[in-house]
Amino acid sequence: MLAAQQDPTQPLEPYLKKLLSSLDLQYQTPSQQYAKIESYATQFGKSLKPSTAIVINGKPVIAPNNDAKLEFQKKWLMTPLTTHQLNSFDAHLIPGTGVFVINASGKVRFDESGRNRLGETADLQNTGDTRGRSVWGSWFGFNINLVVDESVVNGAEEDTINSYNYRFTYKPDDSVVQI
Amino acid sequence: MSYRGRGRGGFHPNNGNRGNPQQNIDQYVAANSVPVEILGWNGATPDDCVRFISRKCKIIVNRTSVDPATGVLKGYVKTPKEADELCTWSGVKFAGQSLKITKGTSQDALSTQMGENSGGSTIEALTQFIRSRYDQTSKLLNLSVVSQDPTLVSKGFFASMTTTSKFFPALMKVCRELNLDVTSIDLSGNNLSDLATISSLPPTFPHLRNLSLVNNNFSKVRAFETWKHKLNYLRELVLIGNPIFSNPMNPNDQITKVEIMRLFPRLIVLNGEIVRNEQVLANILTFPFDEPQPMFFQDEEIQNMSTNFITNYYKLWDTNRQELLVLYEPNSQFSMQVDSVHPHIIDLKPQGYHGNTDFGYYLNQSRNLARISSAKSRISRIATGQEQIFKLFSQLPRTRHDLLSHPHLYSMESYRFPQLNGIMIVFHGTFEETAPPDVFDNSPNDSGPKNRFSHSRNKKIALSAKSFDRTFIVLPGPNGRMIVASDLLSIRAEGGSSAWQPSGIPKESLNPPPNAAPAPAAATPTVSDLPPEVKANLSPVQQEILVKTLLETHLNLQYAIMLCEQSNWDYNQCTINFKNSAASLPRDAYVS
Repeated sequence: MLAAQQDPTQPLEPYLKKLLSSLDLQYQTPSQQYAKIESYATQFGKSLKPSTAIVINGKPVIAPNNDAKLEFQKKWLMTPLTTHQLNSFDAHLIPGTGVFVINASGKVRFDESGRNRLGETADLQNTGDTRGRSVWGSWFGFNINLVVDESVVNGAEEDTINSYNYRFTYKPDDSVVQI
Repeated sequence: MSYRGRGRGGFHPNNGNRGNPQQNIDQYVAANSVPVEILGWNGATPDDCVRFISRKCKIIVNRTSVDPATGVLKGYVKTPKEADELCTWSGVKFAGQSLKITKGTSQDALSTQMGENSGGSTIEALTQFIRSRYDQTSKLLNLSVVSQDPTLVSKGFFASMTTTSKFFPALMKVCRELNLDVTSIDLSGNNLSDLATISSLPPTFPHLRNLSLVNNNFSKVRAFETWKHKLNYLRELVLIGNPIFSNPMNPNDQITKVEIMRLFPRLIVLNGEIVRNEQVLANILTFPFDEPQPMFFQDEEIQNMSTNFITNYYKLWDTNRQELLVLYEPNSQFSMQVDSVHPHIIDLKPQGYHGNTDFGYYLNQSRNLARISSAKSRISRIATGQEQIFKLFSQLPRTRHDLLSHPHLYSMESYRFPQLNGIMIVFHGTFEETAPPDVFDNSPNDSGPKNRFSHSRNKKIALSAKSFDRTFIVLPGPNGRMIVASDLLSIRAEGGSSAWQPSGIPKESLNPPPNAAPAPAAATPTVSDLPPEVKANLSPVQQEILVKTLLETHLNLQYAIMLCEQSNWDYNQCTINFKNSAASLPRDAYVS
């Protein structure tokens, strides 16, 4: 128990996994469907703050209404379905600041079936099949750098990220999805 | 060389007057072997791969060898049918990667069967044929009704069934060598009933947009399965005049269409009918955030600070890490983690047989918190203060980072870290290991879990290229010096740099000839044209160099400044570095 107290980074793993899995949520599963698109989209990256500095692939996410979190969620809604896998992370608690710096690394792949997250396709032929199965593409590598409030060690989740920097580090040459 | 073919006991080298044993081998080989090529095998040894295929696919691959130039594992199977069957296994997972299996192209065999013609003249004939059938303006390669091409027939290309079946593979190979820019291919009227003979078309023309297979003999959608998601840019496909679509009234046609659409994710036009909304599809298949940009700086001040910091830091990191210690204070933290399963480029170098990147020098110190659960290890693997940090630096291999000569291999994001009035610099890229660590203690350093790599104690650890992602928190200290408060280094297998190059650029413009046709400069810039905030940071000499560089390279201001900084404001060095990296710079690096 004493050791666990000395090591403040223990709760970061579930925190990070929750963040990544929020990005992978499906709109409809056999057992569940969100009542509204909005209630679905606001699940993505709940731990972001409206003021979070967000950089994706070296480009800042600029929010017209100063709500970077909402802008991110709107954009993320337009990505094909994803699966993220966390491979590795490391973190430092920076003395005197109340924040952790996290460098995490993993892989992510996209659904290449031609559907967006809401299940919509570009097909003009009636396929008689709106849900269909995902066709997973090859894995991309990603690296994510976060500055998060120290309160996450006590289970805080929402509104805890100060900066969010997400970059693809490897692009498979056969990807159907273009970045 | 081994002959592991099953049930072929008929060959006895000691059979007296049967003649030269080598000749018998050659005959055996010619009569029984169809070449196949395997890529993505190097997660393990070639033998492992062959055994895996034999177990999984029930097909024996004989006489395997690795082509040192390409890294392709070449081998032979008994019959064309086996080769076809094996190709259907392409994509099967082996040792963490997907195997890419294609039929080999044996020009030698083709030449032999064509009699006295040497391989050289076969290639010549094919080259000539391709050139006569290629239209540069429309980028169309017309391969219709090849069996009636008078030149080819006169050269005996279709004299027997076997030469016919080898014609397309050989043709594709020559196409690949000619490196033609082809967007459309017409393969009409070739009596094709499956993709076996043209299985190498997708790898040869992965960006193909239009394909006509009119008047062939395709009768089942299944025949196309092996091309599933392999022609990811195919926009139009014509299958009119094939039994698969012979009866327009056939109610199954709708199903056939839908099934074909599934195989080609960007198919818009099938048999002249628009089957998908192109704009909607483009939106769905494009990552909705802005295109990747290799460098991000929150503002100019941060850009100057971070590029200076990184340039100087890595000069010392590669030559004398001890000199970096002045940047670290008693509170500073450094730790290193290994992501050993990060997606990476497949090593095609001949020495890459051992496949997996060896992380032996790193694993004992890796603070990958997703793997290390013991609190004691988690704490002991952070180095705090100069002494511990230097110890850990010395336990990492010596390195070379080619920041100057290959700047495209690197990517950076840099922005304010207001909590300490400092900046956060995240730096990504690739490095070469040049020598083992100065200090290497391979004994397990604490009570942490014994990792399965500890057997490597007795094995030599291979040096290689690797990639990294590194996060620095840097603060301005007294007297203009910098302080590193936190330093997180993540090590992974070599991942290349394509992920941060914008992808929307048409293939052909990826390598613009840097000085071929200098665009007429709108106005010749002079020192007085430089923005005041840029001039403020530069000496008059540096301003002159920057202007000369702008004129010479047609880079935009941001890239020109980067080039000058990376060349230490030496104009000659700027010219050299620019020539070395011009081909890899994104289009928006240049003045539009």
